Amino acid sequence: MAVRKIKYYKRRFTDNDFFKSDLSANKYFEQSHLSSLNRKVSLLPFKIGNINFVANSKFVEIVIPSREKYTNQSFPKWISGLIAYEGTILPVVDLPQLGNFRSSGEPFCTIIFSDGAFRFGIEADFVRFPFAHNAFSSIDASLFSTLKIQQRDYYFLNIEMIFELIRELEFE
Amino acid sequence: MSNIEQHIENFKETCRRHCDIIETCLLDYEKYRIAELLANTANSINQIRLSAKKLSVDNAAIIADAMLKVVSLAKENRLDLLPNDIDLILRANDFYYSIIQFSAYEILELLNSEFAIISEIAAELQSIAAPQRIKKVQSTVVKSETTSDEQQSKGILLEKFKYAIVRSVSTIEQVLEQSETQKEAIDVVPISQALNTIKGAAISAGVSKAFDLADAMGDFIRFLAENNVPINPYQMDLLLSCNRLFKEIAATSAIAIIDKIKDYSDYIDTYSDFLRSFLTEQEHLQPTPSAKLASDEIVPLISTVGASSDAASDGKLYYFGYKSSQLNDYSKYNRLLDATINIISNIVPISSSINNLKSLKSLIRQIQLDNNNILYNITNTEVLTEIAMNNAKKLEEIISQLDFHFATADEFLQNIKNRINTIYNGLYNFRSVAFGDVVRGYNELANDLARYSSKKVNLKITGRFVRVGSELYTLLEILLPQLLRDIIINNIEPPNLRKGKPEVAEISLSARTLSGKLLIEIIDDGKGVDASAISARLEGLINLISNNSGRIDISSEPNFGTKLSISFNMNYVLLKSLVFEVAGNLYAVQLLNCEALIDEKTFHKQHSNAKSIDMRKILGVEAEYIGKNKPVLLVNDFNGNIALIFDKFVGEAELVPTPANKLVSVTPFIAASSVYNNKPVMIIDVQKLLNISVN
Repeated sequence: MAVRKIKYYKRRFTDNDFFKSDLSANKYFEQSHLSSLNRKVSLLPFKIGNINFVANSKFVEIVIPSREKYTNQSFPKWISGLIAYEGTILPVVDLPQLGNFRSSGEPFCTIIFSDGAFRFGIEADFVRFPFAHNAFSSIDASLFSTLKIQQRDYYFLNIEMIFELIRELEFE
Repeated sequence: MSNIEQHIENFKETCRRHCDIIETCLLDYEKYRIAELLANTANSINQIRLSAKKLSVDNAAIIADAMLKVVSLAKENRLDLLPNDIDLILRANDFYYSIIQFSAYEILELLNSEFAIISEIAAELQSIAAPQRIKKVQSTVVKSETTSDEQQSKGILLEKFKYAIVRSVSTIEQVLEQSETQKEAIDVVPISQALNTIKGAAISAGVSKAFDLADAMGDFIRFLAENNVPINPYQMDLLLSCNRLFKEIAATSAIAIIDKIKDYSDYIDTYSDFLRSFLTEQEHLQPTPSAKLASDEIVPLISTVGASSDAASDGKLYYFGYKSSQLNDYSKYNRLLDATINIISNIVPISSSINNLKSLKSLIRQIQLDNNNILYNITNTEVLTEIAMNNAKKLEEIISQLDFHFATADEFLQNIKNRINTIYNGLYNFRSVAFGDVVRGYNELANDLARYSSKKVNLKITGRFVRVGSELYTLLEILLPQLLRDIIINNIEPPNLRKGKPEVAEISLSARTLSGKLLIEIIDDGKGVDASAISARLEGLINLISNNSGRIDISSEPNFGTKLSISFNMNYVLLKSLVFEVAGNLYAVQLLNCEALIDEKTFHKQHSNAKSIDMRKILGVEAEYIGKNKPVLLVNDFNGNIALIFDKFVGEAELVPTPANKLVSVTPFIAASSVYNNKPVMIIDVQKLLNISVN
């Protein structure tokens, strides 16, 4: 159910091109460096253990119930295993291991991220509805950066950085 | 087909092949008295005798035994065969000849009941070989060279052979052309008569090659007629080429005919190989009996479609003038179409069963209402008993209906499952091609290239049955001829420069699959040059390979030859494998590598000294008490069997391999990954695993 809603939500935003109502729709701003700062981003909030995360939902392909993983001791520590999805095999990133925090141990769902060329999964306890937020003003280049949205603390997850790690794994 | 039926089929086949030979040879012997003909006859009789013995019917081989005795005595010059004797042998031969027309059951009946006839023929034959007629063993005089008389008769036989070809070729051509222009099935009778004439003449002239080709043509045409398979343009072309070959052979004088056949022997071999390969392919594609029954309705539909469009000639591809074709085999489509129609027809009764379930639902609703009545009338026992009895009846009715519907639905579902399997197998055949289809015509190509560059080359192809993904087909069709051309032109020396090596250079082209990879190796025994020079020369082709996610390794040793090994990932081919579980993870072993699957107890009993590998240990997983009796997989190694011990056997599966990336290949013996029941499964490269465990 969650999966469907997320997809629907994403489509609604992109179809209506809600960015157009934004300042960045103006051609002047489109060319300026300000446009990227002022643009609102759709974020997907999710929770692992006691920590709330958000990730750019343009990378989210789908959210699926957790699956059995293939595990191997020789894998890098931040890879918790491999899962099968749509006939292919994807690595699952162990976020608690990367951020050095504790997980609940019983993840309910796996979020699958895709950048068109590579895909990976992150296991989460649950996922909330995405929302639009003017995020980039407070985001730095680290993997996790703190954000305060509606009086609640979130960690913004830099998905592009994880994609770089994954890219290194897939190609020698 | 039961074992005995199989033997009888073989026996019929042997009779069909050899009775002709016996007859022609004996008649020719009567005229020309050439000893070789008797040897041919004896050989053929022996073939019949051996296959008759296999039937394990007492009377089957009696006549053949007697015939063989007479003919071998005559062969050893201890018995003179008079015309009368030859008639008797021919009469015995006719007995076997007439057997061909009967069914298996009738043959058994005939052999068992007609003992009188059999013993009469056998007695006649024995009278020929009566003790008084048998000469004493001749002293071992060195056989004189063939006399001039014999030579003369041989010349006559060759002349006869030539004449037989000339006479038959025109008939064959006429019939083939007629069927081609009028798009009719081939008329079998005149063709097989003509071919039989050639076969008979060839065997008595001692030209076995021509006999082979005519035999292959005969088999092929007979097969087409028996199975109602439409001939495709490529096969027609092949038959016409065979015929042309005969024509060319007959165009020389009788004396030169033997040399001419030697010249053409390569062509003859390839042509008969081609024809026979069609035969074996067609046999593989035989539809299941049930599918065959229904396919009659579909055939005309498909064939009219094929005839109206130009699709029939689309299958041909031309490279260097060598025609190759993927078979326009409509029987494949027929089978799939038939299976689909069957599935649809099975779904209809299932849906009606579901409709009936709705009526059952209304019955149950009534029972619910009655239940409510029970609650209202809880004090009135009379009404209660009536309601209860009514309800019991209704329930019984419901159960019997449910049983009936379950049974029918089950049956039809099973039918659907079978059909889906057929479709699945058919699609599997579509998405891959046999390597033999890819390399069809390459022997010819190699020979012509060699002749063009005045070299002598023998191309050996192995792994014809390896399935290649259809996506690789076109790539290989471009790649392999170019590589062959390069090897023959550049790597092979002319015969006079091949010092210490056989004059005819050998090139071997082999294909095999190895845990999700297709390996093609081309090895020659040519002069061998610097590997870097070869890679510089083949740069374009190497780029082509690497662009298609392939890999080429070139190794070369001066004076010993060059080896090119090309490997491609096979994303399109299914690997039949056994799937096992170790510590919750799935691993698969290609069925090709498996010898046996047994349990731990039997393994310790029967193979107590065989080497075993505990998969938990080699994967670095802690040993854990799993169960008393773990599954043990015996895999074959050069040094004998080695046992792999897993936690649990999951099942047999057909996996689509994905080449291993850096992450998967952290475990060195994992060659590829795949998905089984929505779970990742790692495909084990057994050879690597064994190497690692040894080290």
